[in-house]
Amino acid sequence: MSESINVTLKVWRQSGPGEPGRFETYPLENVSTHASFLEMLDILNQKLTNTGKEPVAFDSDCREGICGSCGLMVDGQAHGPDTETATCQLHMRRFSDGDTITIEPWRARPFPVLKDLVVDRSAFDRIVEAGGYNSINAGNAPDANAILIPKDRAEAAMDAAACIGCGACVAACKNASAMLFVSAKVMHFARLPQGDPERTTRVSRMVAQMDEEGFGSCTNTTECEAACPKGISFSNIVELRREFVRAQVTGRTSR
Amino acid sequence: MKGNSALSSVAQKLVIGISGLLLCGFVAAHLAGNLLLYITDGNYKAFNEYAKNLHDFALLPVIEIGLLVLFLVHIVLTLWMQLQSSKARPEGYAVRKSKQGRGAVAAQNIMHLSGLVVLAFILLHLADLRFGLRFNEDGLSPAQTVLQVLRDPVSAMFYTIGPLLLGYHLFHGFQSSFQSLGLGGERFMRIVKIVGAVFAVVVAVGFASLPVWVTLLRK
Repeated sequence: MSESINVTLKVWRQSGPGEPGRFETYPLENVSTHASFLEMLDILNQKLTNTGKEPVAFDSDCREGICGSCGLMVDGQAHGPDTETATCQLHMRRFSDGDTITIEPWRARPFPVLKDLVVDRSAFDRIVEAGGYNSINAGNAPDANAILIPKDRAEAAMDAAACIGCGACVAACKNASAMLFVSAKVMHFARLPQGDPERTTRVSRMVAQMDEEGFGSCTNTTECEAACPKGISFSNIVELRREFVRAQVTGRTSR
Repeated sequence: MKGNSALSSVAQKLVIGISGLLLCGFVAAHLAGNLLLYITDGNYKAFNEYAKNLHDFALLPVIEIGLLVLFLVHIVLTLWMQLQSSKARPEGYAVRKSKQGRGAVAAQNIMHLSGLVVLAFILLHLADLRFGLRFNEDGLSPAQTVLQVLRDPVSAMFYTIGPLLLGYHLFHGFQSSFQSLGLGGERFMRIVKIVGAVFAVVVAVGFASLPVWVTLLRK
């Protein structure tokens, strides 16, 4: 494998929210194959800045795949061609010399583009605010092992809690549905005794807020699961529906 | 809140799933009746008797109205949901690629299109055999009426394409319905997917084989 490659970037440029956007083409030479995708964009931005042009705006924070800030549509795939990999962990060795790479922001009405590749994901925050928390007074920290939780249950809760809220599920879904995100947030509480007292209101409120934000409906294509950088299982969505039906038939669901 | 005043997206999908599964039951019963046509003994005695018993059944109008309601609920709710979902992404992507290696015409991606073609087929089918709008000859036995319709080239084409697309619709629809109902344990889903695939093939081949048989083999 050669140590450096030449690529052509087709990048979505948009000056602000609601402004018309367009693709700009930038040739980039001698990109190290060891560079991460975001480092490659840093190199592009350095070049643009040096020539007096506006750098490409994109989100990133931890750059180690755990914060969920970065998230780009790379050649039509959320977070690029790798599986269970955030954009920041995608590397240029994944591309070949001479490739044209199309980079777009997440597309969904609840995720309006703020600038270039940056979208506003506060819709996710409002869904979590609607019920993705425990508000009961649980007293002091209990003794270790005072609350017994079967290992597989704890593991399943932890797997759901691995969601970093990046929005790839919405971006990849043909309906722009947020069900994988919402199901992960609902199910990591529902599987643990600490989350049990509020499970009825939690699922009802979070689903209501999801609809309120204008996300599409889930039609079980499982494309979200394939796009998720944390491998959140589609089975969470199926369990959310069970949790939802349980809430409707057993409890008060008014806000 | 919008989510509280209307049926939530999760509840909508649940209703679509239940109505879809009930319609699967209707399709299975309908197919069982149709296949009696292959018993040609005694001038299609088996099929004619089955048709007569069905028509004489006192509760038939109730069942027909129930079916109509099921179809309307399934179709109207799906189209409404599809409309909402299309609003959720006003600006599309320039490039789109599945991470599951699925093409744009995979069964789950064209459910509304396969559904609409099936609907067109059902409307023609009802016009032909329920209301007798195109063929209306007195004194024919039920089997003769069916054969007359199937010999018509336009019908033969629709009666082949319709069921094939219905099978494609069920290939995703059957298993997806269970997931919409919140039923999707790992082992359970493995079985449901196999049963769904077999059911889809049986429905497609079962229904579509009749016009092919009538057109090609029974000249």
